[in-house]
Amino acid sequence: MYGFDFIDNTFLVEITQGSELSNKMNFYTVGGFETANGNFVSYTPWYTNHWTDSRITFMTQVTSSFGVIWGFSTGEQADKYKIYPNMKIGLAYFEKLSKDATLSLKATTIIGGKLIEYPCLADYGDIGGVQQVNCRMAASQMPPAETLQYLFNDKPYNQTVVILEYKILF
Amino acid sequence: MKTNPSLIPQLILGTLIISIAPIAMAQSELVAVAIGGNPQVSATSAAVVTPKLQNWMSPEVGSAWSSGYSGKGTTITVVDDYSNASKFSGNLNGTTQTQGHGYWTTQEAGLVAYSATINRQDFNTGRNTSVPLAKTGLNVINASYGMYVPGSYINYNFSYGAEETSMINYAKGGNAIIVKAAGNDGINMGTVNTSGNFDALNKSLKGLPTTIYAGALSTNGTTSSPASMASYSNKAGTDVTTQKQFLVVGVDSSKMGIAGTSFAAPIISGYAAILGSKFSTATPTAITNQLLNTARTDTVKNYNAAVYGRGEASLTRALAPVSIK
Repeated sequence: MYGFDFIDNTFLVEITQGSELSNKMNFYTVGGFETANGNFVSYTPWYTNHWTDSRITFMTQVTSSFGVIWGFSTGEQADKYKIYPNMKIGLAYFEKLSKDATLSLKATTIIGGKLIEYPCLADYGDIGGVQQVNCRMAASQMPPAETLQYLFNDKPYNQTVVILEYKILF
Repeated sequence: MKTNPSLIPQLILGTLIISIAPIAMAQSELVAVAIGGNPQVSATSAAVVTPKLQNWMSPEVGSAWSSGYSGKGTTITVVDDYSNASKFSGNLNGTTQTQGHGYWTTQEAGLVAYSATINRQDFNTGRNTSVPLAKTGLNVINASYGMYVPGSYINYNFSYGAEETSMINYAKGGNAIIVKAAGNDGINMGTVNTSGNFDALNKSLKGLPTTIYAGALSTNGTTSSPASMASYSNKAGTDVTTQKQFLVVGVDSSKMGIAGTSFAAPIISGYAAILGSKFSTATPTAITNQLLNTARTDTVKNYNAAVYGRGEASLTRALAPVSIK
């Protein structure tokens, strides 16, 4: 009797710890600024994640020339940002055009996976009172309210990818 | 100490000596020698300056520049000498220039707070004209000059023309920040110099809410290499009120080619403008206090309030929050 064995036809394509967005935020785990009183405020506690975004991707071969790509990421979180988990889905198509020529198409998209950065609450004393501010720009020249527009709010890198490949051997 | 002769005239010019008329009656009256011409106020629109950290600037300025708000929405009025034919050479922007005192102080303030509107008022012709204030945003008035009277009048009250009267009233009412060069006699503020004169304007501004006196360090200080007072710079002195209003900044003559507390004041004026741009609803008094309260005592050598007042002005600390979570 014909049946489709999902397990037998599913292949591991990728296991990765880390992502482009995770690497971006890792940059801010160092550095800081001095307060008005001269105390050093480090970015490390704010931007050090508790778990690094990790991704696993599979391909399930449906026919000899067509497969479904699927996977997910765990996301990651720190005090002042969050990368949401995401799901990856796509398809892969392969056709042998001739003895020496092949055509392949791979298309994937990521659902979810956004990076959101959270603001800090800064006390500027008599000169400015308590205000929400972009943590990284609290000591900059920019008015606190204007720093909020620079909070990261990013989509995943390479959210939609389409690769069409034509190969010919000679 | 070997003296660089080329610096001597610049030091003298750092704080211009204004001749006065003979004193009448019990109250001395300051009268500047009239040079003639009409009172002149000229405005310079916000200079199109490509911000560049100059080698004489504190590194704090560069780190604070990155967001490009440097003094935006504020006005610095530089009351100075724009008429005198006397010019001297210096280098504030990477090229040697020769220009008059007022042009130097104006340029310097504009290099520090490059987005501020910089206005000029010539004290030679503007003596009877109140210093105008911009209607919006912080106003800072830079006064890199002195009003000298004989030491025998040190306990007198003084009356001035409309120009200085307006500055004193602004400082009294907290309407504008007055940044006053401390003077180049190497003495304590409020005392008589070797010529037997003292700066009456320093005395008249003392204790007012938005007065800042600017003294000069020989260079910018750091914790690893604390700076010393420039030999010519007046010091805060023993009067506690004056000490509380006294700041110092680096005036590195080896880099700038010019020296004098005249060139300390525009740096502090620039800092005030940068603060006024970030905290656009803060009062001049709050901004004055912020600069004074965040000054550093660990970047000057053997800190003593009688020498350094509150200490070295720190733009980065003045911009920073007290606490954050």
